[in-house]
Amino acid sequence: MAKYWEMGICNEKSGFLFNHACKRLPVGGNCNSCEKPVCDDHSYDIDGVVLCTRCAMESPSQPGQGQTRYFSSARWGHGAYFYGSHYYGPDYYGGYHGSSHNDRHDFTEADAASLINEADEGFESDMSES
Amino acid sequence: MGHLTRATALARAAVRGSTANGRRRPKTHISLLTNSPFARQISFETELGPEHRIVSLAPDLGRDETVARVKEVFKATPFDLLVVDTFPRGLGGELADLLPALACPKVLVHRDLNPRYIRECDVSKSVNWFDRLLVPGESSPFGSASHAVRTAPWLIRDAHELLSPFEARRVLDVESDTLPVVAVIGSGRAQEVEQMDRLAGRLASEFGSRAAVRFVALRARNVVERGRPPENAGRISNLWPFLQAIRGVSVSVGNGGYNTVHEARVTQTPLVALARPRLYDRQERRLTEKEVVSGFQAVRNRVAAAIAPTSSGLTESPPQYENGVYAAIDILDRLSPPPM
Repeated sequence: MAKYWEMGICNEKSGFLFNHACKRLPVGGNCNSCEKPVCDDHSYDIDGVVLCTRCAMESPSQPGQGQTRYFSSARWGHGAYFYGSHYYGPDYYGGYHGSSHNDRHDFTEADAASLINEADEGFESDMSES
Repeated sequence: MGHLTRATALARAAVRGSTANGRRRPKTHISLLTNSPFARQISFETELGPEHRIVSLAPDLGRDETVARVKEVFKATPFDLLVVDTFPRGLGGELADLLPALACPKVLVHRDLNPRYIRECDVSKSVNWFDRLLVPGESSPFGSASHAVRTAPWLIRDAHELLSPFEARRVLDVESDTLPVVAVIGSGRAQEVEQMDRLAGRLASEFGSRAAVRFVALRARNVVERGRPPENAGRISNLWPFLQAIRGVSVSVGNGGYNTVHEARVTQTPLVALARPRLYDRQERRLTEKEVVSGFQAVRNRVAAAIAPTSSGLTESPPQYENGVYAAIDILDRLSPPPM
């Protein structure tokens, strides 16, 4: 099925606990795999191919579980980490050291709202609600 | 999971030989119907004894197939009393065809419901199919109806059944008797369990030197395999019901689900809770301002306060609480006196 992207803003969704829509400007380019428009924070140069976060995680170059691989990112310089299927950006280290700064990958009040659509599939049709 | 835990709590009281006030009850045979994905991981024989019937429908069935299976089970199961948890029309609306023609007493366990569900599915009409509404310890839309009876919250364990703080810590794999214990409860939707798993890892990173952080879930998973840095991983406990070990816990972190909230309240265990969106109830209404949080920093701050050396910590004396299941059984017995 064709995927339609919202042009002009970063279409990536990522987050430490909940997925956030990034919507950051300006867009740095498009993912070479899925063509998603992504900002610098959410694009990764893997073996010369620019990928969005999701495609980078699913890339065959993705290391095995428990291993660490460094991906270059124009903005972060030292890149984000992928541990297995999970994504840990540099902000993760703020958590390690007890920083109280507002981590953009933290969940916020807006996160709960972002899940409402997922829960609202229609009464008496979602059998997982038991 | 919440429905199944509440139903099991009621069933445990029903199969006991006597009520809370000492009145002897004849043997009650339970048939428990569920489509919970957790059902196959619970030992109902341990909870209820060997002679009861658990009908576990596959959780991944679609609506039509679930409805068809429920109808088949109703036809094949003789029963003298029907207790329905939460959904007066059934999860897929199937009870609308079955209940009006059912002659035996019918009881609805009635907790909070989404007003839109009430409106769109004409729930006001459906609750009148029931002889009693049992309201287990929290406000609910039809709680003031003439056939509604409110009880204390229903708990899966009585106060005297809880492990001592020291025994509970062994169950949670905590060696120390003094180190604060943070229990992060993995419950709710699969995505939420995964988020709580990650939250536990992050709290372990923050507080690992000051507290033992445990991710508590019915189905434990190997967090190291999932990619968490091993040296910081919050250890996991495959534990159900969590309530039995709650006296070993300094603070619980979880969702605003019925059992998580009431278990913390009756045992006076500090609770840090996320109000998750739900189709049929409203966790944000269940939680108090003191309990609810909406961001990691708030979780972190509340946990830090709960494990601070000045906090009251664990207590030797067991909690005293009323388990509403016994009042519920008294009401059920009056509706359908068991044969003596």
